[in-house]
Amino acid sequence: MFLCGWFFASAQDSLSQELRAEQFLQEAHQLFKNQQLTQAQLVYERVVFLSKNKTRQNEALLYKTYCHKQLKQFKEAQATIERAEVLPKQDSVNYLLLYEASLTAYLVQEYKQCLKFIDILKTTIQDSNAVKRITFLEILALNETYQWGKAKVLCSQYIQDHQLEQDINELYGFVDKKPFKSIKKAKTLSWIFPGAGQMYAGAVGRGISSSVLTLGALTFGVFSAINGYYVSAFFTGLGLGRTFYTGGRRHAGYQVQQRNLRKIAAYHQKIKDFILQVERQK
Amino acid sequence: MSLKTTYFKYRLVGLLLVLHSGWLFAQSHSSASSQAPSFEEEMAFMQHLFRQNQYHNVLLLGQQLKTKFTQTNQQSRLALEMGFAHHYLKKLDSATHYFNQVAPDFAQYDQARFYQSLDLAKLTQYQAATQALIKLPLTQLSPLKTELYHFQLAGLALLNKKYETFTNKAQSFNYQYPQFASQQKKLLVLHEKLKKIPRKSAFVAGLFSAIIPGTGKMYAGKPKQGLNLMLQNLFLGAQAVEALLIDGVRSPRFIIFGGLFSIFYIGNIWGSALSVKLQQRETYETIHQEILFNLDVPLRLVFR
Repeated sequence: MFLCGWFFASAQDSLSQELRAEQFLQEAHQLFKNQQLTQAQLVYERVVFLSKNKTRQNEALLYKTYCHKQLKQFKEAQATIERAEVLPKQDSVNYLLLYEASLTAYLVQEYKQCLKFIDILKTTIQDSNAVKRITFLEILALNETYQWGKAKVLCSQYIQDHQLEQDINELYGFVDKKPFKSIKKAKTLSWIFPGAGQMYAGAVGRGISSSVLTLGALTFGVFSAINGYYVSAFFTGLGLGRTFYTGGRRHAGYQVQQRNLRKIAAYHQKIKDFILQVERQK
Repeated sequence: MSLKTTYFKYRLVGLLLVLHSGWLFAQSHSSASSQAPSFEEEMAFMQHLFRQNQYHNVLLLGQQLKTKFTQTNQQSRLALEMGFAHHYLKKLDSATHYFNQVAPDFAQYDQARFYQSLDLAKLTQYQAATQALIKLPLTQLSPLKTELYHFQLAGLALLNKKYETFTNKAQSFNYQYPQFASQQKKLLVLHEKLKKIPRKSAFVAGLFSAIIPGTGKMYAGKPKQGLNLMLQNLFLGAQAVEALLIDGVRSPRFIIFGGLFSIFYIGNIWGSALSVKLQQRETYETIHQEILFNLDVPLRLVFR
Protein backbone atom coordinates (compact mmCIF):
# COMPACT_ATOMS: atom_id res chain seq x y z
CA MET A 1 0.00 0.00 0.00
CA PHE A 2 2.87 2.36 0.85
CA LEU A 3 4.54 1.55 -2.48
CA CYS A 4 1.29 2.26 -4.23
CA GLY A 5 1.00 5.54 -2.34
CA TRP A 6 4.55 6.50 -3.31
CA PHE A 7 3.94 5.78 -7.00
CA PHE A 8 0.72 7.71 -6.78
CA ALA A 9 2.39 10.70 -5.16
CA SER A 10 5.24 10.61 -7.67
CA ALA A 11 2.79 10.55 -10.58
CA GLN A 12 0.93 13.44 -8.98
CA ASP A 13 4.20 15.39 -8.65
CA SER A 14 5.12 14.95 -12.28
CA LEU A 15 1.58 15.86 -13.34
CA SER A 16 1.77 18.98 -11.22
CA GLN A 17 5.21 19.80 -12.71
CA GLU A 18 3.84 19.47 -16.24
CA LEU A 19 0.86 21.65 -15.37
CA ARG A 20 3.16 24.34 -14.06
CA ALA A 21 5.36 24.04 -17.16
CA GLU A 22 2.26 24.53 -19.31
CA GLN A 23 1.27 27.60 -17.28
CA PHE A 24 4.75 29.07 -17.70
CA LEU A 25 4.60 28.31 -21.42
CA GLN A 26 1.38 30.31 -21.72
CA GLU A 27 2.93 33.13 -19.68
CA ALA A 28 5.98 33.12 -21.96
CA HIS A 29 3.78 33.23 -25.07
CA GLN A 30 2.02 36.26 -23.61
CA LEU A 31 5.35 37.99 -22.96
CA PHE A 32 6.50 37.10 -26.47
CA LYS A 33 3.31 38.57 -27.89
CA ASN A 34 3.91 41.77 -25.91
CA GLN A 35 7.49 41.90 -27.27
CA GLN A 36 9.00 41.53 -23.78
CA LEU A 37 11.58 39.28 -25.38
CA THR A 38 14.33 39.19 -22.74
CA GLN A 39 11.83 38.19 -20.07
CA ALA A 40 10.05 35.78 -22.43
CA GLN A 41 13.23 33.83 -23.27
CA LEU A 42 13.90 33.35 -19.54
CA VAL A 43 10.39 31.98 -18.97
CA TYR A 44 10.77 29.66 -21.99
CA GLU A 45 13.99 28.39 -20.41
CA ARG A 46 12.03 27.70 -17.21
CA VAL A 47 9.62 25.59 -19.23
CA VAL A 48 12.54 23.56 -20.58
CA PHE A 49 13.77 23.12 -17.01
CA LEU A 50 10.42 22.10 -15.56
CA SER A 51 8.98 19.92 -18.28
CA LYS A 52 9.97 16.35 -19.04
CA ASN A 53 7.75 16.40 -22.11
CA LYS A 54 10.00 16.61 -25.20
CA THR A 55 7.29 18.17 -27.36
CA ARG A 56 6.75 20.96 -24.85
CA GLN A 57 10.52 21.43 -24.45
CA ASN A 58 10.88 21.71 -28.23
CA GLU A 59 8.13 24.31 -28.39
CA ALA A 60 9.78 26.35 -25.65
CA LEU A 61 13.20 26.09 -27.31
CA LEU A 62 11.77 27.10 -30.67
CA TYR A 63 10.13 30.22 -29.24
CA LYS A 64 13.23 31.01 -27.19
CA THR A 65 15.17 30.93 -30.47
CA TYR A 66 12.66 33.37 -31.97
CA CYS A 67 13.22 35.70 -29.00
CA HIS A 68 17.02 35.63 -29.40
CA LYS A 69 16.70 36.11 -33.15
CA GLN A 70 14.51 39.18 -32.69
CA LEU A 71 16.99 40.49 -30.13
CA LYS A 72 19.72 39.91 -32.77
CA GLN A 73 21.48 37.48 -30.40
CA PHE A 74 22.23 34.98 -33.15
CA LYS A 75 24.87 32.99 -31.25
CA GLU A 76 22.40 32.42 -28.41
CA ALA A 77 19.67 31.58 -30.92
CA GLN A 78 21.89 28.94 -32.51
CA ALA A 79 22.91 27.46 -29.14
CA THR A 80 19.23 27.29 -28.12
CA ILE A 81 17.85 25.60 -31.21
CA GLU A 82 20.66 23.04 -31.24
CA ARG A 83 19.34 21.80 -27.87
CA ALA A 84 16.02 20.77 -29.44
CA GLU A 85 15.45 17.13 -30.38
CA VAL A 86 13.97 15.86 -33.62
CA LEU A 87 11.07 13.59 -32.60
CA PRO A 88 9.42 10.85 -34.64
CA LYS A 89 6.11 11.55 -36.40
CA GLN A 90 6.27 15.32 -35.88
CA ASP A 91 7.11 16.47 -39.38
CA SER A 92 5.80 20.01 -39.11
CA VAL A 93 7.58 20.75 -35.81
CA ASN A 94 10.75 18.99 -36.95
CA TYR A 95 10.72 21.15 -40.07
CA LEU A 96 10.54 24.32 -37.97
CA LEU A 97 13.33 23.13 -35.67
CA LEU A 98 15.67 22.16 -38.50
CA TYR A 99 14.81 25.28 -40.49
CA GLU A 100 15.72 27.48 -37.52
CA ALA A 101 18.89 25.45 -36.88
CA SER A 102 19.97 26.02 -40.50
CA LEU A 103 19.00 29.67 -40.51
CA THR A 104 20.73 30.56 -37.22
CA ALA A 105 23.87 28.71 -38.40
CA TYR A 106 23.78 30.85 -41.56
CA LEU A 107 23.28 34.01 -39.51
CA VAL A 108 26.37 33.31 -37.40
CA GLN A 109 28.27 32.64 -40.66
CA GLU A 110 28.75 28.92 -39.98
CA TYR A 111 27.86 27.97 -43.53
CA LYS A 112 29.07 24.36 -43.44
CA GLN A 113 26.99 23.77 -40.30
CA CYS A 114 24.03 25.38 -42.09
CA LEU A 115 24.40 22.97 -45.03
CA LYS A 116 24.68 20.06 -42.59
CA PHE A 117 21.32 20.95 -41.03
CA ILE A 118 19.76 21.37 -44.47
CA ASP A 119 20.94 17.85 -45.34
CA ILE A 120 19.39 16.50 -42.11
CA LEU A 121 16.15 18.36 -42.93
CA LYS A 122 16.08 16.84 -46.42
CA THR A 123 16.48 13.31 -45.07
CA THR A 124 14.13 13.75 -42.10
CA ILE A 125 11.18 15.65 -43.52
CA GLN A 126 8.81 13.65 -45.72
CA ASP A 127 6.88 16.63 -47.12
CA SER A 128 8.63 17.58 -50.38
CA ASN A 129 6.97 21.01 -50.47
CA ALA A 130 8.36 21.82 -47.05
CA VAL A 131 11.83 20.73 -48.18
CA LYS A 132 11.58 23.04 -51.20
CA ARG A 133 10.93 26.00 -48.89
CA ILE A 134 14.53 25.86 -47.63
CA THR A 135 16.11 25.88 -51.11
CA PHE A 136 16.76 29.61 -50.90
CA LEU A 137 18.91 29.12 -47.79
CA GLU A 138 20.80 26.25 -49.39
CA ILE A 139 21.65 28.42 -52.41
CA LEU A 140 22.94 31.20 -50.18
CA ALA A 141 25.00 28.80 -48.04
CA LEU A 142 26.42 27.05 -51.12
CA ASN A 143 27.47 30.45 -52.49
CA GLU A 144 29.26 31.31 -49.27
CA THR A 145 31.18 28.02 -49.42
CA TYR A 146 32.07 28.74 -53.09
CA GLN A 147 30.13 25.70 -54.37
CA TRP A 148 28.84 27.77 -57.29
CA GLY A 149 28.19 24.80 -59.60
CA LYS A 150 25.74 23.20 -57.17
CA ALA A 151 24.27 26.59 -56.29
CA LYS A 152 23.66 27.40 -59.97
CA VAL A 153 21.77 24.13 -60.57
CA LEU A 154 19.69 24.68 -57.46
CA CYS A 155 19.02 28.31 -58.34
CA SER A 156 17.76 27.48 -61.84
CA GLN A 157 15.44 24.90 -60.23
CA TYR A 158 14.32 27.59 -57.77
CA ILE A 159 13.57 30.01 -60.63
CA GLN A 160 11.62 27.27 -62.43
CA ASP A 161 9.63 26.34 -59.29
CA HIS A 162 8.65 29.95 -58.72
CA GLN A 163 7.90 30.51 -62.42
CA LEU A 164 10.13 33.57 -62.55
CA GLU A 165 11.53 35.33 -65.60
CA GLN A 166 15.12 35.50 -64.51
CA ASP A 167 18.09 34.51 -66.64
CA ILE A 168 20.28 32.22 -64.57
CA ASN A 169 23.38 33.37 -66.46
CA GLU A 170 22.75 36.90 -65.30
CA LEU A 171 23.25 35.66 -61.74
CA TYR A 172 25.81 32.89 -62.24
CA GLY A 173 27.51 33.96 -65.48
CA PHE A 174 30.68 34.62 -63.53
CA VAL A 175 31.11 30.89 -62.85
CA ASP A 176 31.83 30.08 -66.51
CA LYS A 177 33.42 33.38 -67.53
CA LYS A 178 35.80 33.33 -64.55
CA PRO A 179 36.31 37.10 -64.35
CA PHE A 180 38.79 36.75 -61.49
CA LYS A 181 42.35 37.96 -61.86
CA SER A 182 45.35 35.75 -61.34
CA ILE A 183 47.65 36.38 -58.37
CA LYS A 184 50.50 34.67 -60.22
CA LYS A 185 50.03 36.95 -63.23
CA ALA A 186 50.06 40.06 -61.02
CA LYS A 187 53.31 38.95 -59.38
CA THR A 188 54.89 38.20 -62.77
CA LEU A 189 53.87 41.63 -64.10
CA SER A 190 55.39 43.31 -61.03
CA TRP A 191 58.53 41.24 -61.57
CA ILE A 192 58.82 42.54 -65.16
CA PHE A 193 57.96 46.14 -64.31
CA PRO A 194 57.50 47.45 -60.73
CA GLY A 195 53.91 48.60 -60.11
CA ALA A 196 52.42 46.84 -63.18
CA GLY A 197 50.90 44.09 -60.98
CA GLN A 198 48.98 46.63 -58.88
CA MET A 199 47.74 48.36 -62.06
CA TYR A 200 46.58 44.95 -63.38
CA ALA A 201 44.66 44.51 -60.09
CA GLY A 202 42.95 47.84 -60.72
CA ALA A 203 44.88 49.83 -58.09
CA VAL A 204 46.43 52.34 -60.52
CA GLY A 205 47.45 54.87 -57.83
CA ARG A 206 49.22 52.23 -55.78
CA GLY A 207 50.88 50.91 -58.94
CA ILE A 208 52.24 54.36 -59.85
CA SER A 209 53.56 54.97 -56.32
CA SER A 210 55.21 51.53 -56.30
CA SER A 211 56.88 52.30 -59.66
CA VAL A 212 58.09 55.73 -58.49
CA LEU A 213 59.51 54.40 -55.20
CA THR A 214 61.28 51.39 -56.71
CA LEU A 215 62.63 53.13 -59.77
CA GLY A 216 63.49 56.24 -57.73
CA ALA A 217 65.60 54.20 -55.30
CA LEU A 218 67.32 52.31 -58.10
CA THR A 219 68.01 55.51 -60.06
CA PHE A 220 69.46 57.10 -56.93
CA GLY A 221 71.71 54.05 -56.61
CA VAL A 222 72.90 54.27 -60.22
CA PHE A 223 73.63 58.01 -60.00
CA SER A 224 75.40 57.53 -56.67
CA ALA A 225 77.61 54.83 -58.17
CA ILE A 226 78.42 56.95 -61.23
CA ASN A 227 79.44 59.85 -58.94
CA GLY A 228 81.57 57.65 -56.69
CA TYR A 229 79.21 57.30 -53.71
CA TYR A 230 79.53 53.52 -53.61
CA VAL A 231 78.29 53.06 -50.04
CA SER A 232 75.09 55.06 -50.74
CA ALA A 233 74.67 53.26 -54.06
CA PHE A 234 74.84 49.91 -52.32
CA PHE A 235 72.81 50.56 -49.16
CA THR A 236 70.20 53.10 -50.27
CA GLY A 237 70.01 52.45 -54.00
CA LEU A 238 70.28 48.70 -54.07
CA GLY A 239 69.03 47.93 -50.54
CA LEU A 240 66.01 50.22 -50.55
CA GLY A 241 65.25 49.53 -54.23
CA ARG A 242 65.27 45.77 -53.64
CA THR A 243 62.97 46.18 -50.60
CA PHE A 244 60.45 48.20 -52.64
CA TYR A 245 60.73 45.76 -55.56
CA THR A 246 60.05 42.55 -53.59
CA GLY A 247 57.48 44.29 -51.37
CA GLY A 248 55.71 45.61 -54.47
CA ARG A 249 55.39 42.07 -55.88
CA ARG A 250 53.84 40.79 -52.66
CA HIS A 251 51.54 43.79 -52.53
CA ALA A 252 50.38 43.17 -56.13
CA GLY A 253 49.34 39.61 -55.16
CA TYR A 254 47.47 40.95 -52.13
CA GLN A 255 45.70 43.59 -54.26
CA VAL A 256 44.48 40.94 -56.72
CA GLN A 257 43.25 38.74 -53.85
CA GLN A 258 41.32 41.67 -52.33
CA ARG A 259 39.86 42.61 -55.71
CA ASN A 260 38.68 39.03 -56.32
CA LEU A 261 37.07 38.88 -52.87
CA ARG A 262 35.26 42.17 -53.51
CA LYS A 263 34.01 40.83 -56.85
CA ILE A 264 32.80 37.57 -55.29
CA ALA A 265 31.01 39.53 -52.55
CA ALA A 266 29.31 41.67 -55.22
CA TYR A 267 28.13 38.58 -57.17
CA HIS A 268 26.86 36.97 -53.96
CA GLN A 269 25.05 40.16 -53.00
CA LYS A 270 23.30 40.28 -56.38
CA ILE A 271 22.07 36.69 -55.94
CA LYS A 272 21.11 37.36 -52.31
CA ASP A 273 19.10 40.46 -53.29
CA PHE A 274 17.25 38.48 -55.95
CA ILE A 275 16.45 35.54 -53.66
CA LEU A 276 15.41 37.66 -50.70
CA GLN A 277 13.14 39.71 -52.94
CA VAL A 278 11.41 36.51 -54.09
CA GLU A 279 11.12 35.25 -50.51
CA ARG A 280 9.65 38.56 -49.31
CA GLN A 281 7.00 38.45 -52.00
CA LYS A 282 5.82 34.98 -50.91
CA MET B 1 -17.43 -11.88 12.79
CA SER B 2 -13.81 -11.84 11.70
CA LEU B 3 -14.82 -11.98 8.03
CA LYS B 4 -17.11 -9.04 8.51
CA THR B 5 -14.39 -7.08 10.30
CA THR B 6 -11.87 -7.79 7.53
CA TYR B 7 -14.41 -6.73 4.88
CA PHE B 8 -15.10 -3.53 6.79
CA LYS B 9 -11.35 -2.86 7.13
CA TYR B 10 -10.79 -3.23 3.39
CA ARG B 11 -13.64 -0.88 2.63
CA LEU B 12 -12.23 1.67 5.08
CA VAL B 13 -8.74 1.44 3.55
CA GLY B 14 -10.24 1.78 0.08
CA LEU B 15 -12.19 4.83 1.12
CA LEU B 16 -9.10 6.37 2.70
CA LEU B 17 -7.10 5.76 -0.47
CA VAL B 18 -9.73 7.42 -2.61
CA LEU B 19 -9.89 10.39 -0.25
CA HIS B 20 -6.10 10.62 -0.14
CA SER B 21 -5.81 10.55 -3.92
CA GLY B 22 -8.51 13.19 -4.22
CA TRP B 23 -6.69 15.38 -1.73
CA LEU B 24 -3.36 14.93 -3.57
CA PHE B 25 -4.97 15.75 -6.90
CA ALA B 26 -6.65 18.85 -5.50
CA GLN B 27 -3.40 19.89 -3.84
CA SER B 28 -1.40 19.44 -7.03
CA HIS B 29 -3.93 21.47 -8.99
CA SER B 30 -4.11 24.25 -6.45
CA SER B 31 -0.30 24.38 -6.11
CA ALA B 32 0.14 24.39 -9.86
CA SER B 33 -2.36 27.13 -10.40
CA SER B 34 -1.69 29.45 -7.49
CA GLN B 35 1.71 28.85 -5.84
CA ALA B 36 4.76 30.77 -7.05
CA PRO B 37 8.02 28.76 -7.09
CA SER B 38 9.70 28.48 -3.71
CA PHE B 39 13.21 29.82 -3.08
CA GLU B 40 14.71 26.33 -3.35
CA GLU B 41 12.91 25.75 -6.66
CA GLU B 42 14.24 29.05 -7.94
CA MET B 43 17.73 28.04 -6.88
CA ALA B 44 17.38 24.73 -8.71
CA PHE B 45 16.39 26.68 -11.83
CA MET B 46 19.38 28.95 -11.34
CA GLN B 47 21.68 25.92 -11.17
CA HIS B 48 20.14 24.74 -14.44
CA LEU B 49 21.01 28.13 -15.97
CA PHE B 50 24.59 27.75 -14.73
CA ARG B 51 24.81 24.28 -16.30
CA GLN B 52 23.65 25.79 -19.60
CA ASN B 53 26.26 28.60 -19.29
CA GLN B 54 23.45 31.17 -19.42
CA TYR B 55 25.13 33.63 -17.07
CA HIS B 56 23.20 36.65 -18.32
CA ASN B 57 19.98 34.81 -17.48
CA VAL B 58 21.36 34.01 -14.00
CA LEU B 59 21.81 37.75 -13.48
CA LEU B 60 18.34 38.53 -14.85
CA LEU B 61 16.74 35.95 -12.57
CA GLY B 62 18.86 37.06 -9.63
CA GLN B 63 17.71 40.67 -10.01
CA GLN B 64 14.07 39.53 -10.03
CA LEU B 65 14.49 37.27 -7.00
CA LYS B 66 16.28 39.88 -4.91
CA THR B 67 13.04 41.80 -4.45
CA LYS B 68 10.96 38.64 -3.82
CA PHE B 69 13.15 36.85 -1.28
CA THR B 70 14.38 39.28 1.33
CA GLN B 71 15.66 37.07 4.17
CA THR B 72 19.36 37.53 4.94
CA ASN B 73 20.26 33.96 3.96
CA GLN B 74 18.33 34.21 0.71
CA GLN B 75 19.96 37.54 -0.14
CA SER B 76 23.40 36.05 0.58
CA ARG B 77 22.71 33.03 -1.63
CA LEU B 78 21.57 35.31 -4.45
CA ALA B 79 24.62 37.54 -4.02
CA LEU B 80 26.88 34.47 -4.18
CA GLU B 81 25.27 33.13 -7.35
CA MET B 82 25.30 36.54 -9.02
CA GLY B 83 28.94 36.89 -8.01
CA PHE B 84 29.68 33.61 -9.78
CA ALA B 85 27.74 34.67 -12.88
CA HIS B 86 29.87 37.82 -13.09
CA HIS B 87 32.98 35.75 -12.36
CA TYR B 88 32.28 33.45 -15.32
CA LEU B 89 31.46 36.46 -17.51
CA LYS B 90 34.88 37.83 -16.48
CA LYS B 91 33.28 40.98 -15.08
CA LEU B 92 35.55 40.86 -12.08
CA ASP B 93 34.67 44.24 -10.58
CA SER B 94 31.00 43.28 -10.35
CA ALA B 95 31.90 39.78 -9.14
CA THR B 96 33.86 41.15 -6.17
CA HIS B 97 30.98 43.54 -5.40
CA TYR B 98 28.48 40.67 -5.15
CA PHE B 99 30.84 38.32 -3.28
CA ASN B 100 31.31 41.11 -0.76
CA GLN B 101 27.54 41.20 -0.11
CA VAL B 102 27.51 37.64 1.29
CA ALA B 103 26.81 37.83 5.05
CA PRO B 104 29.33 36.29 7.51
CA ASP B 105 26.72 33.96 9.01
CA PHE B 106 25.89 32.43 5.62
CA ALA B 107 26.98 28.81 5.14
CA GLN B 108 29.07 29.54 2.03
CA TYR B 109 30.66 32.71 3.38
CA ASP B 110 34.14 31.17 3.08
CA GLN B 111 33.56 30.38 -0.61
CA ALA B 112 32.54 34.00 -1.27
CA ARG B 113 35.66 35.33 0.47
CA PHE B 114 38.03 32.98 -1.39
CA TYR B 115 36.54 33.91 -4.77
CA GLN B 116 36.41 37.62 -3.93
CA SER B 117 40.09 37.43 -3.04
CA LEU B 118 40.95 35.63 -6.29
CA ASP B 119 39.04 38.14 -8.43
CA LEU B 120 40.67 41.07 -6.63
CA ALA B 121 44.06 39.45 -7.29
CA LYS B 122 43.16 39.20 -10.97
CA LEU B 123 42.39 42.91 -10.86
CA THR B 124 45.93 43.36 -9.40
CA GLN B 125 44.43 44.68 -6.13
CA TYR B 126 46.66 42.44 -4.03
CA GLN B 127 46.22 44.36 -0.76
CA ALA B 128 42.42 44.20 -1.01
CA ALA B 129 42.65 40.52 -1.98
CA THR B 130 44.63 39.77 1.18
CA GLN B 131 42.15 41.78 3.29
CA ALA B 132 39.22 39.80 1.83
CA LEU B 133 40.84 36.53 2.93
CA ILE B 134 41.89 37.80 6.37
CA LYS B 135 38.19 38.47 7.14
CA LEU B 136 37.65 34.70 7.32
CA PRO B 137 37.27 33.23 10.84
CA LEU B 138 40.23 30.84 10.75
CA THR B 139 39.07 28.79 13.76
CA GLN B 140 35.82 27.85 12.02
CA LEU B 141 37.50 26.56 8.86
CA SER B 142 38.04 22.85 8.19
CA PRO B 143 41.69 21.66 8.00
CA LEU B 144 41.43 21.51 4.19
CA LYS B 145 40.18 25.07 3.94
CA THR B 146 42.74 26.27 6.50
CA GLU B 147 45.51 24.86 4.31
CA LEU B 148 43.86 26.45 1.27
CA TYR B 149 43.69 29.77 3.16
CA HIS B 150 47.45 29.71 3.80
CA PHE B 151 48.12 28.61 0.21
CA GLN B 152 46.10 31.53 -1.18
CA LEU B 153 47.79 34.01 1.14
CA ALA B 154 51.18 32.68 0.05
CA GLY B 155 50.19 33.13 -3.60
CA LEU B 156 49.07 36.70 -2.93
CA ALA B 157 52.38 37.44 -1.19
CA LEU B 158 54.19 36.16 -4.27
CA LEU B 159 52.07 38.34 -6.56
CA ASN B 160 52.77 41.31 -4.31
CA LYS B 161 56.52 40.54 -4.49
CA LYS B 162 56.65 39.99 -0.70
CA TYR B 163 59.04 37.08 -0.97
CA GLU B 164 59.81 36.82 2.76
CA THR B 165 56.13 36.50 3.62
CA PHE B 166 55.81 33.86 0.91
CA THR B 167 58.75 31.87 2.29
CA ASN B 168 57.22 31.95 5.80
CA LYS B 169 53.84 30.79 4.50
CA ALA B 170 55.34 28.15 2.21
CA GLN B 171 57.26 26.59 5.09
CA SER B 172 53.95 25.60 6.68
CA PHE B 173 52.59 23.84 3.53
CA ASN B 174 51.85 20.19 4.36
CA TYR B 175 51.16 19.02 0.75
CA GLN B 176 48.63 16.45 2.00
CA TYR B 177 45.58 17.63 0.03
CA PRO B 178 45.55 16.27 -3.53
CA GLN B 179 43.26 19.15 -4.65
CA PHE B 180 46.19 21.58 -4.53
CA ALA B 181 49.38 19.79 -3.46
CA SER B 182 50.85 20.11 -6.98
CA GLN B 183 49.94 23.81 -7.06
CA GLN B 184 51.72 24.32 -3.74
CA LYS B 185 54.87 22.82 -5.27
CA LYS B 186 54.39 24.91 -8.41
CA LEU B 187 54.33 28.11 -6.31
CA LEU B 188 57.76 27.25 -4.98
CA VAL B 189 59.06 26.85 -8.54
CA LEU B 190 57.51 30.17 -9.56
CA HIS B 191 59.06 31.83 -6.52
CA GLU B 192 62.50 30.65 -7.69
CA LYS B 193 61.76 31.95 -11.20
CA LEU B 194 60.77 35.36 -9.84
CA LYS B 195 63.93 35.57 -7.76
CA LYS B 196 66.04 34.74 -10.81
CA ILE B 197 64.68 37.60 -12.93
CA PRO B 198 67.76 39.77 -13.37
CA ARG B 199 67.38 43.38 -12.29
CA LYS B 200 68.49 45.26 -15.36
CA SER B 201 69.13 49.00 -15.49
CA ALA B 202 67.58 51.24 -18.13
CA PHE B 203 70.60 53.54 -17.80
CA VAL B 204 73.05 50.71 -18.58
CA ALA B 205 70.96 49.68 -21.62
CA GLY B 206 71.00 53.30 -22.88
CA LEU B 207 74.76 53.52 -22.28
CA PHE B 208 75.41 50.29 -24.21
CA SER B 209 73.36 51.59 -27.13
CA ALA B 210 75.21 54.90 -27.07
CA ILE B 211 78.58 53.13 -27.29
CA ILE B 212 77.58 50.45 -29.83
CA PRO B 213 74.07 50.89 -31.29
CA GLY B 214 71.87 47.80 -30.82
CA THR B 215 73.78 46.33 -27.86
CA GLY B 216 71.32 47.96 -25.42
CA LYS B 217 68.52 45.85 -26.92
CA MET B 218 70.72 42.76 -26.68
CA TYR B 219 71.34 43.57 -22.99
CA ALA B 220 67.53 43.95 -22.51
CA GLY B 221 67.11 40.39 -23.80
CA LYS B 222 66.18 41.01 -27.43
CA PRO B 223 69.26 39.94 -29.44
CA LYS B 224 67.56 39.78 -32.87
CA GLN B 225 66.15 43.30 -32.56
CA GLY B 226 69.57 44.44 -31.35
CA LEU B 227 71.35 43.00 -34.40
CA ASN B 228 68.76 44.55 -36.72
CA LEU B 229 69.23 47.99 -35.16
CA MET B 230 73.00 47.62 -35.26
CA LEU B 231 72.90 47.00 -39.04
CA GLN B 232 70.46 49.89 -39.64
CA ASN B 233 72.76 52.29 -37.77
CA LEU B 234 75.79 50.90 -39.56
CA PHE B 235 74.22 51.44 -43.01
CA LEU B 236 73.17 55.01 -42.27
CA GLY B 237 76.40 55.82 -40.44
CA ALA B 238 78.51 54.52 -43.34
CA GLN B 239 76.63 56.71 -45.82
CA ALA B 240 77.00 59.75 -43.55
CA VAL B 241 80.75 59.11 -43.28
CA GLU B 242 81.01 58.68 -47.05
CA ALA B 243 79.21 62.00 -47.62
CA LEU B 244 81.46 63.70 -45.04
CA LEU B 245 84.64 62.39 -46.62
CA ILE B 246 83.66 63.23 -50.20
CA ASP B 247 81.56 66.41 -49.89
CA GLY B 248 82.45 67.84 -46.48
CA VAL B 249 80.44 68.81 -43.46
CA ARG B 250 78.22 71.44 -45.14
CA SER B 251 77.09 69.28 -48.05
CA PRO B 252 73.35 68.51 -48.37
CA ARG B 253 74.14 64.80 -48.75
CA PHE B 254 75.99 64.75 -45.39
CA ILE B 255 73.23 66.81 -43.70
CA ILE B 256 70.54 64.37 -44.92
CA PHE B 257 72.39 61.16 -44.07
CA GLY B 258 73.87 62.62 -40.90
CA GLY B 259 70.43 63.80 -39.78
CA LEU B 260 68.88 60.42 -40.51
CA PHE B 261 71.68 58.64 -38.67
CA SER B 262 71.28 60.97 -35.64
CA ILE B 263 67.54 60.32 -35.45
CA PHE B 264 68.08 56.55 -35.61
CA TYR B 265 70.97 56.70 -33.13
CA ILE B 266 69.09 58.71 -30.48
CA GLY B 267 65.88 56.73 -31.01
CA ASN B 268 67.84 53.55 -30.48
CA ILE B 269 69.24 54.74 -27.14
CA TRP B 270 65.76 55.76 -25.94
CA GLY B 271 64.22 52.52 -27.21
CA SER B 272 66.81 50.37 -25.46
CA ALA B 273 66.19 52.09 -22.12
CA LEU B 274 62.43 51.59 -22.50
CA SER B 275 62.72 47.98 -23.62
CA VAL B 276 64.49 47.01 -20.37
CA LYS B 277 61.40 48.09 -18.41
CA LEU B 278 59.02 46.51 -20.91
CA GLN B 279 60.91 43.23 -21.01
CA GLN B 280 60.90 43.02 -17.19
CA ARG B 281 57.19 43.82 -17.06
CA GLU B 282 56.45 41.12 -19.63
CA THR B 283 58.43 38.53 -17.65
CA TYR B 284 56.65 39.41 -14.39
CA GLU B 285 53.29 39.41 -16.19
CA THR B 286 53.85 35.90 -17.57
CA ILE B 287 54.78 34.52 -14.15
CA HIS B 288 51.88 36.37 -12.47
CA GLN B 289 49.43 34.78 -14.89
CA GLU B 290 50.86 31.37 -13.99
CA ILE B 291 50.47 32.13 -10.26
CA LEU B 292 46.85 33.24 -10.75
CA PHE B 293 46.09 30.07 -12.70
CA ASN B 294 47.55 27.99 -9.88
CA LEU B 295 45.41 29.88 -7.34
CA ASP B 296 42.25 29.45 -9.44
CA VAL B 297 42.35 25.67 -9.99
CA PRO B 298 42.27 24.62 -6.29
CA LEU B 299 39.21 26.83 -5.63
CA ARG B 300 37.30 25.03 -8.37
CA LEU B 301 38.32 21.65 -6.97
CA VAL B 302 37.47 22.51 -3.37
CA PHE B 303 34.25 24.47 -3.85
CA ARG B 304 32.44 23.86 -7.17
